Amino acid sequence: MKISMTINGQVVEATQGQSVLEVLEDQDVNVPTLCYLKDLNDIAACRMCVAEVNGSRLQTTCTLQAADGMVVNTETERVNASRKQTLELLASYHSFDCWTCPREKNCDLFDQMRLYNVDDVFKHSYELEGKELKLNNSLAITLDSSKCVHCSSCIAVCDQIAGVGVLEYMERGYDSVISPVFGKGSLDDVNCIGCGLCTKVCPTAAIVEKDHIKRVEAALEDPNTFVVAQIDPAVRAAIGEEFGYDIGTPVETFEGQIFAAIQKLGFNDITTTNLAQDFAVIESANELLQELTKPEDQQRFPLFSSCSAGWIRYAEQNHPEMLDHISTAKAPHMMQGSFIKHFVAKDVYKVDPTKLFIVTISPCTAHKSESDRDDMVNDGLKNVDAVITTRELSRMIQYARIDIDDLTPITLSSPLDKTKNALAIPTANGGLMEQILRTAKQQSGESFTDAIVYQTIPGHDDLLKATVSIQGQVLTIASAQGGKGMQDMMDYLAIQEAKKTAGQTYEAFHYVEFMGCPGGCINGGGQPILREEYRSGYDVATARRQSIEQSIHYQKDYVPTNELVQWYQSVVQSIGSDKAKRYLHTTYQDKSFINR
Amino acid sequence: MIQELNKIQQDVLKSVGNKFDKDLRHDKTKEIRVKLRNAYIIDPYSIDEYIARDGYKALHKVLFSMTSDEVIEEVKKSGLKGRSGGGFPTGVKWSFVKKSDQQHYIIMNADEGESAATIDGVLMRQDPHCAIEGMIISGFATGATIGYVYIRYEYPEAQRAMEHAIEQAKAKNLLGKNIMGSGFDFEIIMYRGAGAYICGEETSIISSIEGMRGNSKNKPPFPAIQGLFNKPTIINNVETLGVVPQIILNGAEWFANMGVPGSEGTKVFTLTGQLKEPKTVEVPLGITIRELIELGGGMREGRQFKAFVTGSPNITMLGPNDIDMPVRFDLFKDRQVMVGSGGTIFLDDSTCLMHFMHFNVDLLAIESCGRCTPCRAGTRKMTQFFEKIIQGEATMDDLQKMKDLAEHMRDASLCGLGIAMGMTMYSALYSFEDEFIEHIRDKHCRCGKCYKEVAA
Repeated sequence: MKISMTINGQVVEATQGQSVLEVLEDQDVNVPTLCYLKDLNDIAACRMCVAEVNGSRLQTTCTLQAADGMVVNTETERVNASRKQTLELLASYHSFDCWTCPREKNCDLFDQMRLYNVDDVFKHSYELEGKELKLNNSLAITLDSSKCVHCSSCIAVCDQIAGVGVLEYMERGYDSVISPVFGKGSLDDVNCIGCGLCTKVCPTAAIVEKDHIKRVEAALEDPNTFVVAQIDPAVRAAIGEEFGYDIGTPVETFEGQIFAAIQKLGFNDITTTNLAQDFAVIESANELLQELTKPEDQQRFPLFSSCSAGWIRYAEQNHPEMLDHISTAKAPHMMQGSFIKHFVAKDVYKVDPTKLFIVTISPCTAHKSESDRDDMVNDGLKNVDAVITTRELSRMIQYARIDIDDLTPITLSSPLDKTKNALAIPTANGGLMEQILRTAKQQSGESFTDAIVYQTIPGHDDLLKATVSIQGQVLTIASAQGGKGMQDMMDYLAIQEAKKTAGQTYEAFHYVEFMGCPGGCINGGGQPILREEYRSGYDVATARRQSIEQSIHYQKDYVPTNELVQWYQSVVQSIGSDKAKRYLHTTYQDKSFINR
Repeated sequence: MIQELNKIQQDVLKSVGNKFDKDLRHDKTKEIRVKLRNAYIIDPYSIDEYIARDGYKALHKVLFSMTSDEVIEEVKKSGLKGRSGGGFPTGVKWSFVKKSDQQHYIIMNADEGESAATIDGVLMRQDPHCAIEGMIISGFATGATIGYVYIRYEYPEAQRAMEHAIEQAKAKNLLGKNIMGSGFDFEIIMYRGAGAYICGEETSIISSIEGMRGNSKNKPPFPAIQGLFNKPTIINNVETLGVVPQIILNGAEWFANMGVPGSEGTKVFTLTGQLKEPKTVEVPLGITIRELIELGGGMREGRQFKAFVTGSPNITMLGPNDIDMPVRFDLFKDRQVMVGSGGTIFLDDSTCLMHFMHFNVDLLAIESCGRCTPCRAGTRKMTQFFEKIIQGEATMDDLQKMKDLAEHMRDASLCGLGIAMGMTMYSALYSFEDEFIEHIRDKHCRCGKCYKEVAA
């Protein structure tokens, strides 16, 4: 139903059910907001979006339903004074170390302070009188309450999208801080999965990824260290956004310059994680095939994928009873790190493995905690020494005063790049699982021509399933993404299990792929920040996937070539060998909150 | 059922002797006891004595001879307004909720956090059944079948009395399934708060009962549209609900004739501060401040009346020039003064207003939930301004900043706590601006209390 409203003196048409903020944005009226996230966080906490409505007390437009005949004024002196005063109050206790801040160029608070010409009314004090500074470090996420504007966006996404709800207000009044639940000092002490969604919705730098830049810089400065960068395809898809390219620009437009910049930073070799993804696919396909050959009562179906670090943390913390279903293959980048150090360092790089320093450039914040896990160490060497996110890479390039426009594009020439720089589907939903199944078919001598057609599971819009036949058996596979999706999937599986026990008809699953981030790796927690994604529901993942799908490197039905499989077999002796098990597979521990 | 009630009444009246003839009123004052009619007279742990004082007769009347619309109409006609400060017409609030066909709830706000008020505490300790009866009637009127009593953490005695009263009422089939055989079901659940002042604010109560941190929520949507568990919810004060049975029994006109037009009925006030005899009294609205002081025995010996303060820490105040002002809901709206919950403080000229304001503002800063920016940071900044004044460091520029901040908080805060802070400053500056200026410009404190920290 159409209604008419008067906005700043102009009569406009709106739809019944819209909030006033939505109407204002449709009319291109600039309304500053800090806390508002569409349908997620409409708590009206920041009080920036206020407007004069029908001449009454100031109202927050984000929570106000548009009504017929409403008169809204957003540019009066009263409104502007109120917004300015709100910013002055926020500024009075914010820790302004902007030049060292990871969000210096992407800070909503800073932008709005400029816009409203904020004075230092309350005499900003660097001691932040009365306010207890709390710095919470975890393996993946750093929380700095001195930069918090109490918008509680992080609480909203952690609870409603990541589905773990490990952030909450503590204390009250001026002393209130957003911190890990139960007053725990670190997010590692609660069920945080490290997905990094919170870092993407924070309007300032109160929640950021754990800094690994210093580790990398130290390694780069050390002349005796051989530093290898391995780049995830999702990073290649998004890094251009940090340098002014439109979202969805094909990767080859800017990729050569980025590679050149990485080289200029001092990395000794640059490779992609494609090789590792192939290995992970080969190992997982083998695991699947072996499971199929077992007698039916010994099969441990459903098998779960192991490539998402967020999912592994989720499973260890919430479903320790299901750990033996997870594929033991390490996540691709860890596998590649281990592979380089323990199999090919001496042949390919002519370097002693102890002098190798492997840096994953990753779209993922959970990878940071994964790289610091105790069980990701073989023979005293960490599989991966540091993980930097897409955002950190762009910061490193900026810190080094490199202008990528001045650089001549280069192509990768790493001896490890056996896959000819192919960009394959693992960045998409269910993609890795599809590759695993294709490879399994290929290895069992069958052809795979049809694409897998996914359907949503009835009643669960975020869960997908499909059927595939291998060796005459029909396998049911499923895919879940985001913490909430993982939770739904586990609940769904539990229901099927209960039905099976009760002797009712049930649905059996053979393989389930879990992704810690909604939208997959391409939308990971370390990717460039676009608050629009949650503020107005813009589908970043789909837009960003264009940059891969429109690339000349894109191969839709990519599977590891037979040559690669043979090379791999020759290096690790054989697929599933003891040596492969030792270096390329891992184990999982019960890390549930109660047992910790 | 009415025969049973009557029989209990007769039995009790025979046995108690002259216990009920006690009259605790001052003879020559305007005190009228409607809500406090049973307080300190009956045994709060005896439902029979409450029934003997016409208890549960109103409920019987409502269940068997009135429709829900008639009840709401009666309450509307009586002019009953919310007694906890807002002054919103109770009947209108009920009619909002009645329209809904969903499950809805009624919450009795018994979280009396105001430090100067002990009204709900007295009512629940001394006459718990009166509030319960009012709650059942409001449930019948609005179609709510579940009621929550959100009781203050610091009221264990009142909680015991209420819980005992609920059990007694259930045993007599005055509460629970099929009340008095009428087919109407009503259930009351006690919920004890955790000791936060903000949880006296209605949206915070809802968050708290839902099991979350007691943060206030933005209005609109109002609780009457989307409240507890996202269902329509009425939130009424103990005092408001406690008077409903008397309105039903005696009629709307009887209630409306007490008080003055626009502020009908009586209001319980806790008179505290520098009075000779601080106490809890019930008076018709429209009473002047001078008369209230007389009820409290007058100001202390040799001291002059300085300020009439409603509420604490959410204070609004009137100065000595207003001593003959009648206390009414609508009178002070332009001066940003609220009648409030009924906790009042009388200050005499020995009190330094800056110290008094600092104490209350600091309490608000501590008790703010921390959700919205103006209140979270503004209350603390205001405290710091008062600290500066007390230490003699403030400038006239700071006074302007205080005014701007108060205006901002009143305009843009999320809930009543921040808004009240703005009103506090407005009303204080209206009556006592000269004292502010004396402190800031002339560095002079009439009471000789400020600047000592500087010397020490």
